[in-house]
Parts: sequence; structure tokens; C-alpha cells
Amino acid sequence: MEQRAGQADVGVVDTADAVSSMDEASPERRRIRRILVANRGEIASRVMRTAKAMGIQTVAVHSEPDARAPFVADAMFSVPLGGRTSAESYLDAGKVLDAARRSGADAIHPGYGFLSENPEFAQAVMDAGLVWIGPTPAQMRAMALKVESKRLVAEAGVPLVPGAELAADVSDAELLAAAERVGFPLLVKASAGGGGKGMRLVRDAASLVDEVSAARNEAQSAFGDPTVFLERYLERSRHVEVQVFGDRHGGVVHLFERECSIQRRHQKVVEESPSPGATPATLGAMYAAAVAAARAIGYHGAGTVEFIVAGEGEAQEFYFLEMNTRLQVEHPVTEATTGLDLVEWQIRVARGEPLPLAQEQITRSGHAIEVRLYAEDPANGYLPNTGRIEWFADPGWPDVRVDSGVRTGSEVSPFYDPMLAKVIGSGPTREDAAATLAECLAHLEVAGVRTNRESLAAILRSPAFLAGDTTTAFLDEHPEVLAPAPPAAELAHALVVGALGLAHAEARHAPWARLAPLGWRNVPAVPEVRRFAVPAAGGAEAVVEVHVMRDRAGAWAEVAGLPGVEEPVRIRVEAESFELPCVVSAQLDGLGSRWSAQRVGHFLMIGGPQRVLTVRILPPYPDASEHAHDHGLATPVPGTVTQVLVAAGDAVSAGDTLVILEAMKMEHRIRADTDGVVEEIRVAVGESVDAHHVVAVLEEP
Amino acid sequence: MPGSAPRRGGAGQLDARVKLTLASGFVQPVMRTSVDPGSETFRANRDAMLESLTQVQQLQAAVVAGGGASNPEKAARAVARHRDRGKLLPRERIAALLDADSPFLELSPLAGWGSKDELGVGLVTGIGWVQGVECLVSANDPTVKGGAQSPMTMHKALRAMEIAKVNRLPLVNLTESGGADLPNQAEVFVPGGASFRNLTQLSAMGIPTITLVFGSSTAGGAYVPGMSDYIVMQKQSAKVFLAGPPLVKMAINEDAVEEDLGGAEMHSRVSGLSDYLADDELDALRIGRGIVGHLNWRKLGPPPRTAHPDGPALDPEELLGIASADVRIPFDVREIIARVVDGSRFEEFKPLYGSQLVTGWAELAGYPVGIIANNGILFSEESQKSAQFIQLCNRHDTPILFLQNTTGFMVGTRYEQRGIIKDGAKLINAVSNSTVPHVTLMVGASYGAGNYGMAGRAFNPRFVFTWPNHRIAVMGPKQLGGVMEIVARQKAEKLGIPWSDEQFAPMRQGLEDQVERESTALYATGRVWDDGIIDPRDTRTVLGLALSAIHNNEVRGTSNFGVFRM
Repeated sequence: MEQRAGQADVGVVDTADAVSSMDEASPERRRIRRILVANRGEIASRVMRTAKAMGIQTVAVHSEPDARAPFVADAMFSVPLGGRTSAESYLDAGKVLDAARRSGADAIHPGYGFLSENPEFAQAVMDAGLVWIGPTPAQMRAMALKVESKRLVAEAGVPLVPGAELAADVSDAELLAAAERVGFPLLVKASAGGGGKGMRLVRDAASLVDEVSAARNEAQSAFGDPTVFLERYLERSRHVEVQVFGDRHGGVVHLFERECSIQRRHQKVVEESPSPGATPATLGAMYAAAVAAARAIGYHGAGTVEFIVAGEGEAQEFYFLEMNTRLQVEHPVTEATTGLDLVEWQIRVARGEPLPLAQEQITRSGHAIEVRLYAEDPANGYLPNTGRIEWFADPGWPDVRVDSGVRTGSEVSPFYDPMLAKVIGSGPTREDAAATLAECLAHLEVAGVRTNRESLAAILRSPAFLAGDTTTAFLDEHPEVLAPAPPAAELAHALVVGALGLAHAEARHAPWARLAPLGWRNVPAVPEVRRFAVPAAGGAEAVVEVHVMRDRAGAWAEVAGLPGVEEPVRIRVEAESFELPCVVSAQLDGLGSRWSAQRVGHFLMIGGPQRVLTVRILPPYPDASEHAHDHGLATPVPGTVTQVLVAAGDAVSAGDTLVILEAMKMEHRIRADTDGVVEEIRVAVGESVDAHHVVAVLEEP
Repeated sequence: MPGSAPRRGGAGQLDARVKLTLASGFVQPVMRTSVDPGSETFRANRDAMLESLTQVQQLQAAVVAGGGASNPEKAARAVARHRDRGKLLPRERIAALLDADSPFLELSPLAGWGSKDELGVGLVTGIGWVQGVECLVSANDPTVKGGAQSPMTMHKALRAMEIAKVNRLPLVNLTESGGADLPNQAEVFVPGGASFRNLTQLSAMGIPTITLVFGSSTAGGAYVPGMSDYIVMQKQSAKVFLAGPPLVKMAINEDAVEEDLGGAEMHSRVSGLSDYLADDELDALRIGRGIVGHLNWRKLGPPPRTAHPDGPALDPEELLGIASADVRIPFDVREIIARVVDGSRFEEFKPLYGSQLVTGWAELAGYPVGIIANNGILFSEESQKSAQFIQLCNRHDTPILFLQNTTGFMVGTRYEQRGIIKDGAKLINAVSNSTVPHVTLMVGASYGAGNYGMAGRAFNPRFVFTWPNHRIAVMGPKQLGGVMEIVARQKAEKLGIPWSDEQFAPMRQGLEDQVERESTALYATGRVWDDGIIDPRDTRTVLGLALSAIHNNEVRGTSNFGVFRM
């Protein structure tokens, strides 16, 4: 850092000069030479990639757990923020500004999330004489409060979801009347909220009053503001958003729409462009409305106007939902279909340049779909999964872009969003894009944490998705995509190849490797058994045993315990060849195929023609730690009983002291080895007992 | 990986040979072959060999099934009972003890064949790797007569211990045995003591002894764990006591409870006989692996000369058709050598002298070996050549591989006068006093003193393996029948009894049949005269494993032989 102090000074002087003549109303060109990205993960890397291409230097800031993250390595400079949680690091505006000063950055790109929509931070950045790559604090504030933003866009002629604002002292009768106007089902939403907090779904009038009151309490505790409003709940609706861009010269354009209907817990999972569901009429009106809304507040930079689309065909309606004043996670689908670099546009606009293209110059072609790869368990309530990523490899699929924030060895910490990567597939048609992307996901190698990878591929291959029947209810209506188990026959083949590959890998270093074929016996008797934990329906794990019995002509393999299959599956291995390190050519039941089997930690990744499967390697022996031997409820040495602390019938927990014995001036405590009820006490205070004398008997519950 | 020989007749064959020879930098060319796999002789030999092998494999399968091969129905019930108790069969225990995919060279699998004992004698012995250490594993089969020790069981167990002792292999016992086979106690009792003496001698020699007790190990059997360095007992299953409750009642009128008398918990917590208490069979095997893992075991012999030895350039599959189905028909033993040794490279010693015996050097699985192989009869030249070669191998600390196919030393006035006994004595002197390890493979006939001169079982080779076509006897059945006829006729003439060839013919035939029966490979292996019948195609693997086992002990020759009669 010290050696860059000089540069930092220059940078500050530069920007200070610029800022003195800077006025939001009179856009002047400003130079950006070094961008600090106030974010982490894939988006930090994404921003740096464009910055580098534009000849701009990059600075990363990072928390303690992120010190060795790929985005830090992608940056030319890095500044540790310290701290572990977001609040201690990426959300600490003071630390970020200090990092910008120390690193000599002259601009800050906030990415998405964290401080990206915080007007106070944006103001502080500008006050520090730095370029803020984003809209002005005033624009952000205009959109920040949902009630405020709706009023603004309604004035600009944008349709709103039927709703009603509620005064703090609204009477029950007034509330009911408002609800009748809005119509059921409806949502009670917190004005200051987001992320589903303070949100209640109300289906009829009966529970309205209670739910409003509950939502108010929740909003108060979550956001410090109890204001709530009512909004019609549109079932089986679509989430369609329009990407807009404005510059400091009054220019506003749209970059078409993205549909992001498939969501879980109000977070988008699949995003695509064009929308499969919105009609041309709806889209035309939506583009106009989005541009109008952006114009209404003189918006500049990247923004997204989100709509809800309900109904089909002629009867289709759309309503304004909210506007996001930042680059969206899903911006790559727009880039893939328009061929534009949205980060480049953000930087140009921040430098005071006019938009690079006029509306009529912006075209799009083909179809792009993005999926978000999360470290989570879709079948288990999307429970985030943390841990070390033992292996991560992008298969380098044609027409697929992988924006990843992790690599092999990265830790998924509980402190941040568990998104590992965005995978974007494109093609001439929606079917092409979906097929390519699904195939790429099937072959994407990730081991160590549970991910929604298989679930994403299943969504993309599901008939409902391919029919364009994508609504916000998609995942509720199609639970079969949450934990898709591969077909048993394919799983069996994969496990056999996995077992063979593991055997060959281990044999490489075995002292007998040069002496005998794998598992050689002069008296053939017992198959070699390997055990794996494989994903099963509903996110459970099944223990599968692979028995391999070799003979001169090859091997027989039997796979027992496959989920949903009663009888063991028998597979004839006619030929196996192993090119190190891991490529396996196998002739199974007459069909030749190439596989890879790679051990990473306790995981085995088996790449087959259809997909990559990650299974857990189970130890061949029972876990020794489960077999820690107690020393019994017996005296360890001869001595005198000094205390009996329990009586027959008492319930005790493991570790409770039952009897105290004194021997050779030392006190020995005899403790319960398990939870249970005392059945019998066999000693009395003052009694002299031998070693190994049982003092009590416990009845296990 | 061995056995990657190019297929004969393929276009790549010559290339492969050239590459192997050049790459190794070895000066020896690949051996030439004149075997024609399309020939009538080859096919007939191969068919006969496969037929014998099928018989061997069927017998092995019966042993593996457990329960005793003599009565399959009873056997199935015994195995089912064993499984119902959640117990593993001995070979399953062994597989779980060994490293994943470790080879296991089972020894004397068909012991007991042709005897009144059960085939396989209720004991599994063999060599495999545990935590990267070659161990001699000896496992009772409790489904065969409750794991009781029959006379042949004792024989097989003692042979395994001998192998552990001379080759310095850690011994792991997987014990569950009802003790001595009481109806045969007279034959078991006295020799049985040797097993306990052996255990403590192994320990004294620094060869670790580990016993995992899965079930009953009582009376004399209690000393198997008792004499071991390490003892693991399985909870609620192991029972180790000198006398069970009935005998205790008889002896001292005590009403003893089995668990208090010799249960695993008692021995682990009170008597201290058990060092580790295991929860179940797999836990015991896991603990056993841990023990072997901490032995800090080092092999005393030199490592192989190359870590990646070439397989034979000639196809080992052809070994099936080389050895003659009829041991009276000679074949060139070099064809066998060429399909067993590394790169099919063999440096022949004295190739022009004593042509009925082949001597020379090769590497097998990277280990240097001297090879002495018969091409028939031992004459004076062959005997001298062999004795000289044995001395050379001793000078170089090189193990010797004997390939036996001999009808014995030459007889007749001319040869007696030329001193065949003196020369035979030189060979037997050399082979007896040689201190480098010997491994003997029977690939055909082993008749008469030829068996001795070529390191037969009585001459303590480290291992003896046989091919299914092998024949062993003091002489060939026809010769023996003829000799007996001559002796009988002379006796009859002396006593003035009229002699009739027709009358003697059935007797002679009976004798010939008996000798034929008693000289088969199965008969020999049933008596533990060897360490097992092997598939000829496995020869290289078996010899490689044997050589590796041997190198756990030091390999050192001697210059100290008996007086060579000149």
C-alpha cells in the first residue's frame, strides 16, 4: 500500500479538481483511472473484467474470510476491510471510503446488494471527490420507499398493481373497505421492506386485521418503520423487468426485457430474455412505461423497472412492481442477447459520456437464459450449505458464459449469499439456449457443498419450462425438479465406473501395484465392496454398495441399495482402461463410453456422457468415534464410597455424577455413560468396594 | 500392471518387443518362441489343462462356500446359521482386513483333499497387504465343524506359520474355533503344541503376532490369543477361557458364567488379556488394521530393481498349451520362462552344456532371480551345472526359482560308472546348504531324487506351487509297476512258484493305478506337500507375490557348503 501512496495522492488531486467543477446539471467528462469495486464474489470479478478491458485499474476490498477469494486475485490492488460479517466489512461505508483513499481509487462501483442502493453512501463517495458509478442519491431515494416510488411512476402514467396505502390510525372498517377495493387475495407489505420481511399473504377478509397487525410488528422490528400497504396478490403471474439506461444528457433507452418468474423465497433462480410469456403488446407498453418512469426522475446509469404480468394473450395485464437503481444480478442475459457490455455503459455514463447507442441502434437476437448456482439444498427448504468447495470446474461449454465467484478450494462462508456462480446459456432459440445450458450444468463439476445444480438442469429440461409456462408459482407447482435423482440405471453405471476409477487411482501407489492385477485372488471368493452416499429423492442420501468381482475377462459389478430399486443391479464390465489421472474408458453391458472419475477429499466426481455426479465416499469401517468405550458404571480402583448422588428412579443425563469414591486421597467420580433412568444403586455411603465393582445400573430410555 | 503382453500374431507384436528391449536398456533380447498355438499338440495340452483347472476351480468353489464340502446340504445350513448371527465368512473377514483391492495369495486352499478331513480343513491362510504391509493371515472357518482343528488343519496352520517365520511376515490370526477336533484328539494333541511354540518364537524373532478373536477360542485354543503380541476381542462374541463352565463345574465345582469366565468385556477390563475391545466384526478388523499400521514395518530384503517392470513380451495365456498333458512327453521349459519373466528376457548360463537343464538369470516383477529348470533327465553334466549355478546365485545374493519337470537322475551302468551319484550328491549338497531363498514351481513330472535335487518340499524352499498337470512320486507308475513285477517274478522263481504274467497283470495294474492316484497334483496338495495348485496363467503373479513376500526377510547367500565329492 505504501508504494502506491504517491499514486493515491495524484488520484485524489485529479478527482478533486474534477469535482470542484462538477455539477450534476452540467455533465462534464471525468476521467476514471482506478475503480474500487465495493463488492465481492462474481460481480466484483465481472466489473473488474470490463474495467481491465477499458484500461482502468482495479481495486478490490475484502473481508477476512474473503482474503483468498478469486475476486481479490482478479484485482490489481486489494485492501482488507477486516471483519467477517457483511456489517463489519462490505456494509461499512467508512471502511470502504478509507480503502478508496488508501488505494488511490478515483471511482467506486458498488456492484449489486451491499451499499449499491444506499444514497448516503453514494453521497459520501461523491463528497469524497470520487466518481460514483450509479444513479444520484436523489434518484435512489425517489425509488427507495415503495409508496414513494409508486406515486412517482403512477404520475408518469405507469400502471400499478391495485393497492391501498394505510394510515397508521386506520380503523378496522376502513381497512376492510380498502381491502375490498384492492381485492383478495392480497399482500400486506412493509413500505420500507424487501426480501419478504413484513410480507403477509391474505386470502380473505377474516384474517385481514390480524395479519396487518402482525405485518406492522414485523416491519417495525425489521426496518424500524411500521408502515404497511395492501397490494393485490397476482397468482401465477410472471415477473418481467425492463433494463433501462440513462445518461447525464437526458438520454434514456431500454435494453429490452428479462423474465425472472422462477423464484424461490422471493429470490430469482432462472432469468431469461426474451420473455416467453409477455405478449408483444405488453412488452411494447412495458418498454414505454419503463422509459417514462426513468425519465420521470431524470434517471442515469443502469436501472431495472420490474413489472408483474398477469393473464395471457389479449387479456394480459401488467403492473409496476418496483425499480432497482443498480446493475442487476441477471444483467448477463441482456448482454448475451444485445451484444452490449452493461458495465462498460455504466462506466461511460459515470464518466459523463452520452449513451453509446440510440434506442433504434439497440437490437437483440437469439435467446439467453441465466441460472444461479447456489450452495443450497433445494429439497430441504433451500437450506444454504457452507463449507469448502473441494472442486469447481467450468466445463467450458460452447455458448455458455460462467460468471463465477469461487474456485476449487474456496470456502462458502455463512456470512454472505451462497451464490457460487451464474451460468448463462445462449442460442438462436429458447429451446437451444435451454438445452445448451442444461447440458453445461449437467457437466459442471462441483464437489464439497450441496448445490442446486441438478435442480437447475431439471428446470431447464422440464416440459413446463420448455412450454414457456414460467410463473412465480413454478417451483411450488413442480416439486419434482427440486431434487431430481438420475435414472437408476445411469446411477448404477456411474457408481461402477466410480468404484473402478477409485480402485485404479488408489492402486497407483499401492506396494502391490506391479505385482498383481486389482483385487487378484488365486481363489476367487469375495467381491471388493465400496460404499457411497448418493443423492436420493427429496434431498435425502442413500447408501449404495458397489461390489466388484474380477475375473480374467473383466469384472462383474453389483450395485445394491439404489434409491427406488429393490434388487441389486448387475453390470458386466467387459473392458476398463484408465488413462491417468482420471479418464476411464469402460465397456459396460456392451456399450462403450468415456467417463472421468476424480477423487476430491471425501467426494468422488463421476463424469459420464449424461452428467457429472458427485457422491460421497463412505469409509469401509464403522466410525471409530461412535465406538468410544465407556468405562462402565464401575469403580476404577478400590476405595470408599463417600457420596451417592442419585437414587433408583432418578432420571440422569450422560455425564452426571452418580457416585463419588475416595481412594488413596483422590476423589473418583463415576458418571452416567448415557441418558437414562437409575434402575438400581448397588453401593452405600461408607462402603468399601473393590475395583471394577458395579455401583449403579442405568436403564436406557 | 503386469500381463499387458501384446496378442500374438498382431501387427504390433514386433514393435512392442523392440520397444520393451530398448526402453529397458537391458542387454538381453526377447526370447524366441517356437510354440504354435494352432497346433494339434498345443490345443490338446490346453484342453487337458483347462479340464484339470475346471476341477480345481470347482473344488475351490466348494471350499469358499463354507460349511464343509463333504455334505453340501449340511454346509448350507451351517453357513446360514453363521450368517443369521450376523457373522462374516472367513474370506469376507480377510477381504475387510486387507487394503482395498489388495491381492490375496491363498495358501493350501485344497488341503485335506482325498483325506477324511473336510476339503480346505476349516482354515484359510494366505498373504495379503494390510496398511501397505504384507501379512500372513490365518482365519478359522467356524462353519466347518465349528472351526475345530483336525489333523490336517494343524498341518496347514503350521505350514502358514513356517512361511511367516522364514519370510518374516507379520501374522494376523482371525480366530473363531471350537478347539481341537476331539474325536481326532490323538492326532492333534501332540503336534498342536507346536503352534503355541511357533507364536512365541515369531514374537521373539521380532515378527509381530496379532490375534482378533471373533468367537470362541477356548481350552488349548486360548493360547492362540494368549501367545500373541496383540489381542483384539469382539464384544459379546469372543470367549477365551482354559475351561468352559461344564469343565469348571467338573474340576472345581464352581458354577461359572461364560461372560465372567472369558468374555471380551472381562478380558478387556479385568484380566487384561485383551488389549482392544471391538464392538463388532468390522470394528475388530478396523482395530487390527490400525495395529498393523503402527508396526513401523520395514522389509529387510532389497527393493525390486525397477519399480515398473515390463510384463512378458510373450502371451502368458499360452502357458495353458505348453506343458504336456502326458508328463512323459518332453517340452522346452524355456517357453514357460519366456512367458513369466520381465520382458521375456533371460540370460542363459552354460546354454551349450548339460542341455537337459536350463540355468540363467532374469528379473521377475523387478526382482533378480536365478532360474534352474528341467528339460527332462538329470545327467552328471546337468547336476554339475546346477550345483555351480547355485553357488553363483549364493555369491550374488540372488533368489533361485526352480522349475521342476524331471523324471529323475539318469540310471544305468554307464552313468553309475561315470559317477552319477557323486554328481547328484553335489547338487543335493548345493541345494541343501544354499541360503538364498528358493521358490519351486512344479510344471510337470517330479520323480525320484530329481525332486530333491530340484528343491522339493523336503529341502525347505520358501514356497512350492504346482500346475494342475503336475505328477509327483518316487518314480513313474509304469516304472514302479514294472519294477514290482520284476521283483515279484524273481521272488517267485526263487521260491519255485510258477509265474504267470496274466495272473500278475491285475496286481500290476492295481499298483499302477494306486501310484497314479497318489502322484496327482490334487493328492499332493491335499497333503500340503505344496502351497497350492495355481492356474498356469497366474504363474507370474504368484511368483511375483512370493518373491515380494520373501523380501520381507534379508536375502543373503553363503559360501559355506558341504564337502563336494570330486
